[in-house]
Amino acid sequence: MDSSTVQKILKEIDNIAPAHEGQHVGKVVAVGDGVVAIDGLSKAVMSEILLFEEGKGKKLSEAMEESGELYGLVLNLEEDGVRATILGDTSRVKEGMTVKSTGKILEVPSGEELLGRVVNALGEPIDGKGPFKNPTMMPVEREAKGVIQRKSVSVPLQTGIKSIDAMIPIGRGQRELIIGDRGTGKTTVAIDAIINQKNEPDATRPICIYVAIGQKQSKTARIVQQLREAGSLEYTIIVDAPASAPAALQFLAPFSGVAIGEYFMDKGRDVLIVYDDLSKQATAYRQLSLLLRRPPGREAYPGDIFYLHSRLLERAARLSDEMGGGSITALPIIETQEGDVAGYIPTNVISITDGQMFLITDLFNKGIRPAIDVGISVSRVGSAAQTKAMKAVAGGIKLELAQFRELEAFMQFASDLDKETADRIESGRRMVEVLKQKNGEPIPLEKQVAAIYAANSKFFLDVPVNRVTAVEKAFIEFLDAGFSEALGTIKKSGQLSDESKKELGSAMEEFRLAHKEYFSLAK
Amino acid sequence: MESSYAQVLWKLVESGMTPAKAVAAVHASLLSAGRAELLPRVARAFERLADREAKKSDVVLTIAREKDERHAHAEVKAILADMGIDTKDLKTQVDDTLVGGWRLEGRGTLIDASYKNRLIQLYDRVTST
Repeated sequence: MDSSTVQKILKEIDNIAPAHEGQHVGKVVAVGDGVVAIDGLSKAVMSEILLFEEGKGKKLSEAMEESGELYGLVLNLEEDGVRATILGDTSRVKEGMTVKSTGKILEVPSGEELLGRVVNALGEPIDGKGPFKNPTMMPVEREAKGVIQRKSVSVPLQTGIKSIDAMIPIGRGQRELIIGDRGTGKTTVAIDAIINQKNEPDATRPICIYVAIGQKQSKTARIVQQLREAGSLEYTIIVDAPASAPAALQFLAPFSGVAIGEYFMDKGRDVLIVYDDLSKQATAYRQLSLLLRRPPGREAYPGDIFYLHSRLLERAARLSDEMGGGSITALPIIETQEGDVAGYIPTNVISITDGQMFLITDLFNKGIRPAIDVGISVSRVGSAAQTKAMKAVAGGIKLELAQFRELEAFMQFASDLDKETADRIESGRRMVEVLKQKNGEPIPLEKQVAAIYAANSKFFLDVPVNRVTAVEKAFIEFLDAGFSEALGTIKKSGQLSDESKKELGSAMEEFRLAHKEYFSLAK
Repeated sequence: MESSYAQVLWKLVESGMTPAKAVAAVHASLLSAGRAELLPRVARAFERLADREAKKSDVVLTIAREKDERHAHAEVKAILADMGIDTKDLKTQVDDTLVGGWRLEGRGTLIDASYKNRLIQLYDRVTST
């Protein structure tokens, strides 16, 4: 051992004064299923962190070798003691163990160094890239910002998905629910939204947080890989509470995610947070509540299940300029069973959020992806944030598609249709094709505007339906190559001026002349 | 169920009722609810409760070696006075893993002045910097 180490040790010994200060303690009387009953701790407060004393009776060397400290979280205050959940390995807790009160509320680390990292529900890194050096600790439970501290949603958050940006626009600070059965592409929509933020300028690009709750670790690993390959991991933080994690961590993960996000919001940055998914969080909370012997209510969920989600989603906000102007946009995901959106948890979250997009199995099976049912999907505040260019082209799409769906059903029974109806059906079919999009391929705003403008101008009417997607792609590439200035103008101004319309019109003409083979239905 | 009855019994006696009257009251209540058969289980739950309560009021002084007892007693005297505990109520036990010093635990408070505790604190501080 070198002399500096010896000096350091001697200095440390000097620093440690004999500790005669009393600590508030309790004793473990029962433990099981991740929940521990503790006698005493009469001064404990809700959500306080407790420290289990594992070293008692162990030799000094064994006590020093303990693998990290074991913490608990107070969830029930009872007459003779408290009930807490164990934030770690339950098998380390034994009956009669001393539990120390820390006087601290649960906090998670946050800061720039978390970007590109994968952490667990306690904010501990789990990606093998080492500990954080200088994080800022943020409280997991924090009151949502008040009315005075907020301002209304006015800045768009581009998802890169045509059908969403055109018909269900999302604004920064909004809470838009993604709801649907399993395997309908809910996660894909959210991940595409994260990937699309790469198209934003550095200064305004939102920090993205993906909270995986009760997911298979293989799925989370795949998402991390997808984000890395897309170059999106550098501005994304993954909070992972897998299906194998204790229920307590699955219940805490969304709160940890939003706490990490609040650090950036307080600094005036925009944040996009995805909770994938809140149904699993509700299930974990139900499990925990039943183990804590809280009275069960409807579907055995505890009475405060609504409050669980409302207090989480209320933390999404757009702050006033005085508060720095930051925002948290939340995209909670809810999984329905057999398309039942009238279930307990879905209706709760629908009522809390500022809009919802429904993903339908039938559409998914028909090959319409993203399988969003635009007829019943809404965005209650996003239209105020929609860019003028998109507003100009997207105005009538929703109505056109709704009419098309009605006529499509009617078409099955009628053999002869009048020209107007037939035209409307043909146009609707092509619009559906234009709105189709492959996963992992978000499209920048200006290209979306150009594609929808072309569809509105009946550009695809002479293209066979099964070739519309390919022609649209070729047209966008054509624009990129020869009309990048026009696209740049739309991107920069966010408007579709007469000049831009003219340029797009001539681009359509040129493309038509250059690729006559695509327009085989032309008379 | 039986633990709730045991708690009632405990509280009745704590509030000044004689044990006979308290038992009679609980018995009458069990009879009226048609749960008289629970009485033996209530007795066992009461025993457990009494045991727990007794442990709660225990104050234990743990020392590393027997020869440290006098010194430790002298050190905790003032602390015990502050806590309102009589020295006679103090139980002493030896735990050689403490290395040295003492540890006082009871009535919801822990004062750990053992060498082991200080050495672990030192180890944690040095290894975390």
